[in-house]
Amino acid sequence: MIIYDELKDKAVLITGGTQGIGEAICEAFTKQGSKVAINGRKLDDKVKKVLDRTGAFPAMGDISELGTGERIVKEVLDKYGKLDVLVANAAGMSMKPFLEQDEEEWWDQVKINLTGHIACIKAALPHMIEKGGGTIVIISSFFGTLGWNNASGYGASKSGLLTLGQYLAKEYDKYNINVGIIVPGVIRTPQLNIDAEDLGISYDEVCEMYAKEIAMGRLGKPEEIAEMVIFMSTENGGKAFSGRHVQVSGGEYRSTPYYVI
Amino acid sequence: MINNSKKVALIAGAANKVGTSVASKLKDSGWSVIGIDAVSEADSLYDGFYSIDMTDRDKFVDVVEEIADTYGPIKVLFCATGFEKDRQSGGFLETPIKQWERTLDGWLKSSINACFAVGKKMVKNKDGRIMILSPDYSKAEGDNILMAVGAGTLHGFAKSLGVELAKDNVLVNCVYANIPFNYNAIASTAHFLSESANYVTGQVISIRGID
Repeated sequence: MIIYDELKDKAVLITGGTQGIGEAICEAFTKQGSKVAINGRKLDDKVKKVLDRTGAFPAMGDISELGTGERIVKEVLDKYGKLDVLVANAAGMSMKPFLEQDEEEWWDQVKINLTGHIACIKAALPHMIEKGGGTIVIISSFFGTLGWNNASGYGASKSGLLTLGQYLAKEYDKYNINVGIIVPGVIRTPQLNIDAEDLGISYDEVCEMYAKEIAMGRLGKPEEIAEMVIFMSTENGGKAFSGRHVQVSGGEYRSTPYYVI
Repeated sequence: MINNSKKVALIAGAANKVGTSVASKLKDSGWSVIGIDAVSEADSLYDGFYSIDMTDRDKFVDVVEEIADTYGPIKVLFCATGFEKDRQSGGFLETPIKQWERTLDGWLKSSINACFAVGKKMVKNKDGRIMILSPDYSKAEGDNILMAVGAGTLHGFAKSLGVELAKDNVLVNCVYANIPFNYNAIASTAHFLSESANYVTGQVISIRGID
């Protein structure tokens, strides 16, 4: 990983920072010398190990619940005195046919993936404006934006998140706030257990099945998403990609980005 | 071969400002940077410079052979090849077909020749990064259909070549940069794609310009 001196001592909040891609992002910022806070639902033994390993500050709570976004941003500001980078990474997914899915379960995905992050961003922006700038990195989804069987709620929330990033970049550009969007392909994380369950096959079988469809012939690693987050958090990387999305997908899907700024 | 422990990057279209910006960034990060261009001179920062007709594939293959023999395996190719040919001079109906052909020679033929010559070696080495610059004229003023289409050919080319070479760990991306260029943003992105971004290929990557 490239070390960028400018990221040393930057204060970073990562939602869903306790496992998978979020954990890798936490580790990457720790290596950059940043001041890291991670959000997750519960402070269990696994999360404690991440905190011990990285020295990150826990800003715990379920962001799908009203008030959590505002509270955790305040906790980070109280702890570090500032917030330079917000990584909107937490995700929830439940795979079911649209016509058979319970209404509440469908909306729960939107509450975590989209409105939960809107609350975090709403809380972070006034501070970023006041201090003269900041970076928001949004983690969208390849499956979500492409459209996938039994994933209509996930798709709605993740494509909404991508569009949110584009419009936030346009609206807050005048305050020196960069908003970059990452569209990860299939990454080897615990979330693939949900795919395996939906398909009635094992975790390893689902990994093997997806790898066959990917040009590079393998699944992505969480740290490969984390490296893109790091670059988007730099001055030049932030300026390069503000309002834009980048697919980190091993060539699985080749996109020409559209943008509004 | 000269005694060279540094990683080697080749810039095709080395004399223009984008090529020079990327070369400078990589050089500052410890790379040996070699330039190729149709013009006879380039910035003195290059560790080696070759002036050739980039539309001649055989010449391109020969010079890449010489570069690899002299400096070592080429790890990165950055193509920025279209600038020296015809500029847009009118709308679609006023543009003669010969001018279209010359523009395609500049943007497409020069870049694909570079990718052919260097790509063969990268596949053999199972290691390589190719970046192809395609200026994004969508926010530029004036009649730009000629240049925009010339550069636009590189989108599908980069995506398709990215798929073809992915299994050999050669990653290909199109750097789709808004005009007017933010040279620092382009150079930093090229550096990131050269040294990191191990799972990004077959993409058209939009780079924001200067407002």
